[in-house]
Amino acid sequence: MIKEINIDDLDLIKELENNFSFVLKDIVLDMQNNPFSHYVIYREKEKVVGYINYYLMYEKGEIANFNVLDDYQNKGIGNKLIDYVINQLNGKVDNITLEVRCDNDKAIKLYEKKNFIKVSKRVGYYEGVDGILMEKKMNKDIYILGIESSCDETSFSIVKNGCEEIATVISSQIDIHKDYGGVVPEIASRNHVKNVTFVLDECLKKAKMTMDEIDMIAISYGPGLIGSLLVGLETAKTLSWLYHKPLIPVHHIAGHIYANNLVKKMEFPLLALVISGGHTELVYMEKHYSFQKLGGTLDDALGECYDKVGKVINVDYPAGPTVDRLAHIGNVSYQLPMPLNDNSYNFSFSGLKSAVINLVHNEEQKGNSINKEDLCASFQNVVVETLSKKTLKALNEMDIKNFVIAGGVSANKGIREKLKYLCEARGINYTFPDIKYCTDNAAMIATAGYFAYLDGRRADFTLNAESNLELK
Amino acid sequence: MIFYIDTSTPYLYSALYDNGKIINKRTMYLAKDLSRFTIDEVSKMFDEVNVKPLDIKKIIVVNGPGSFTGIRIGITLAKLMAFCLNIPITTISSLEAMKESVNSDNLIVPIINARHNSCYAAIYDNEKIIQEGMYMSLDRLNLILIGLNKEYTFISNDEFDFKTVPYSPDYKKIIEKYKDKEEVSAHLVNPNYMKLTEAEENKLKEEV
Repeated sequence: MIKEINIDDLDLIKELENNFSFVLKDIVLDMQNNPFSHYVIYREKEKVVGYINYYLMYEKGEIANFNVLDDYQNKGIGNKLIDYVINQLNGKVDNITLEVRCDNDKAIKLYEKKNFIKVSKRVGYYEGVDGILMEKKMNKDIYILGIESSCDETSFSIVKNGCEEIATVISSQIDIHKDYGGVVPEIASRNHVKNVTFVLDECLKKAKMTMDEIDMIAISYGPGLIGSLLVGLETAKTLSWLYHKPLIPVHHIAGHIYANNLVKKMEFPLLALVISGGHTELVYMEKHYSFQKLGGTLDDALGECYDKVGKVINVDYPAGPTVDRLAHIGNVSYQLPMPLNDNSYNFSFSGLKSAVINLVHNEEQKGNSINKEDLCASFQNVVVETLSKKTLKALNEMDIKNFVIAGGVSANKGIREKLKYLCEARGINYTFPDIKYCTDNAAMIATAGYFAYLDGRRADFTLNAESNLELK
Repeated sequence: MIFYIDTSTPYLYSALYDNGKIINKRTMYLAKDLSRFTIDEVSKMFDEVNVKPLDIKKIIVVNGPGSFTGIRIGITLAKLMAFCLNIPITTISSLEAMKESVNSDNLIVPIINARHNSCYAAIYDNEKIIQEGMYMSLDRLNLILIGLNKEYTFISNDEFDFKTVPYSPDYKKIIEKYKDKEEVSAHLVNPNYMKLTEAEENKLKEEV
């Protein structure tokens, strides 16, 4: 039980003295003479096992002392005490500050979980050990600079409070890679270096902001092409170092999912269908920044499959938009197998891809011409059916408040139409991302970064890029 | 205050130079961990001597040749820093930095292993450049050296079948030689890879 104590609670003050080696006189004097100082205790079975001493001075809050008995740690008591203080100060102060020993990892983790950020270092503050000043901003807008470079787009974006886009700049290399029939990793990395400061410059100018006005930096550190990721990562780390801004690690796919929060506030539990050049998966989110993969592709990603089908009918890379367009003109007339038509949440597209390739080759050998429009319509029909089937299974089996799609292929009109119809027929609240934010961009990274920040996620300068990062 | 950085090889080479002195430096073998630890080590190098990024008035960065990924780490750091602090950059080739750190009357041949029996190398005769740094086969380099008909010394930290003298940067000498050389704005600084990507090479072959 939590209780704020005053001079009348003499028994409790005595207990505080006994359990935490206070001098009774000091507490009483502080209570009598310092109107800013507050003592909050936590009692369990008639015993004071934790306390927090905070100051409320005009518009500033400060945590002066905070302790939980060793035997009572890891039980959420510290958590409750801090939450109590934050609630007490909410609406009254601009910020809450505190000082902590730099080697007290456990406390730092807890404060970060409560969205305190490291502001500065006081060298040798605690008998030779550095002290870290941490601050939690109250009722203040949070501006996050997002950085995305996982494939062939160099992008920077500033998003306010995880929902309001201030400015986004995307430099796409698609025209360069078109000539090679796909993204060439080394060429992509080289262009990221070439573009990086130009894109940042343009983003800041567009936002009419300076780096000093940015609160933190969110970086898409994986999955993706390692060389490409590294340019964005070094950029993020350099900015974090130069401006003392916290570094928030963001999973690229989390970013895609969060592009939806720029359209409408996401509701939970949420189901996300992620379809892109590198991913095809169903993700369940019980709450913000909590991801549970229900199933995914066992072989090719859907976007990859579109590109390969496009290649066999001589459609330029990236083939997705063209195949989608042709599918709308054509009729479903070719017979193609329904892939992985089972009871799991997994997908498989390599069989479908091979079936299309074989069909084209067989017809060519027979001297028959292929009706591209009809072939695209037949192929896309099977894709839409298999996506719908697995999505419906999840929607039927789980209590889902919000269904979203994410990733480059989510711009596909045929897929959108069918999923929209499915959701509307069942009265399911759905969100589709803006077409411009289906492909890679930093707005989605800055948005996800806000919720990663609220979840207490932080990285230091040793953060590394991970080409095969799991969504967790 | 001048900040020097070279990440073109498996080593992190970095230094802070002020008033004719190297005030702190980092020479570390990081290999695969170069991306992970470069900023961390650089920030510590600053903190140890209480230097703030704002104190830096110029950056000297090695722009290659060497490991493509490695070069990009240092160049990205230098570009961002120069852009944010609005300070100039001077670039220097890794081969020149290697040559600066050696004293010899022999021909000096800084050399970096580019695998497939190839290398990045240059040839210097004291201050004179005999062969500009370039990507070439070891056989070709060998032929050039035979033609020059003079004693030579290979400088390298990479493994080769022949004898090489290890490279350890003489930060003071390198920085003093390059500190007044041509400056470039952050936007325009790029690695000098000395080699097209494989995809570009293959495409050129097709076009020919």
